[in-house]
Amino acid sequence: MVKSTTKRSELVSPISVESPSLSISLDDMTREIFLELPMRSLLQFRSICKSWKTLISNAQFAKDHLHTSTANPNMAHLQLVPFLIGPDTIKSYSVHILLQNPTTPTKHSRFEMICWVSYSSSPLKHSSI
Amino acid sequence: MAEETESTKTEPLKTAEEEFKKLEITEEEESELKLETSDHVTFMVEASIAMKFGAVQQYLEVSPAASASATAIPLHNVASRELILILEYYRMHDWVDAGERDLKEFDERFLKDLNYEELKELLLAANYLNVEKLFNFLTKSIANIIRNKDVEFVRTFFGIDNDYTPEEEAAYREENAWAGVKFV
Repeated sequence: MVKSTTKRSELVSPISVESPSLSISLDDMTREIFLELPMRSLLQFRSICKSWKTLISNAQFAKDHLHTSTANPNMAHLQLVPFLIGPDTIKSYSVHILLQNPTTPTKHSRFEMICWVSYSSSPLKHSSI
Repeated sequence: MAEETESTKTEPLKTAEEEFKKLEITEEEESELKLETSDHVTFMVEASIAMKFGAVQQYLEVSPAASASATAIPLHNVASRELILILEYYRMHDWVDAGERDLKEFDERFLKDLNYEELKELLLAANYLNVEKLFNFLTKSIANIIRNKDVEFVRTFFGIDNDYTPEEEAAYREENAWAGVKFV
């Protein structure tokens, strides 16, 4: 493990590669893993370190995550979580609470509501929220 | 009479031999590329598989002569141990006769044989080589491992240091308590 780390960092690659760190801090790899995770795990993993928080809170990442999870039918049932994203925070809301109390998001008007996960078979499809 | 019988007997044999030779030639004709790993081990790899590696394609774009010459294509960030695994994966997935079930079983066994360190090494190698199918398989597998794990497990898994102050962590706990998101 340690040996190969040294080897990696000493060698110059003909192909551009980012940091050879074995802690998998490379954003692109971490990002790909995050895209496979349910929002609930991501909310939790923001507290792992600051760079993860930045990546998870990124608006483009949130959009890509939504796109990936809606494209994957296996994850659909896990993703019925609307969330709001603000300058440095993401809040997820339970669908149930929002349906019963559609004004909840307006309390956080400084947040941009970026996604509602809704499927054709979901009752949310016709929701007026 | 005896001679005749002999000649008729040897004919089909000859044909079979020729067929075999033809087959051998065909196999030889399948082009191979020489790849050299970071620990200086060279591999002769079927071009059909090696060309699935983005890093090899990129190298050949810059130095096209390497495909025909005896020059080895250097894979600086891949050790022989990882290349063996990558080749095993691609040979299986490239095998035309492999059914969906075979592949699923293969993938499960492939994953089971790897410990966490090897899994991470392989992900780095797959990322470096730019091998999409294996990379996607590994990211999905790692996501499955950490999906329901607590924060401390994930920190250890990735070798990440906690750079939050205790106050910041406490703030997170409070903020997310309503959602039932657990912080450890």
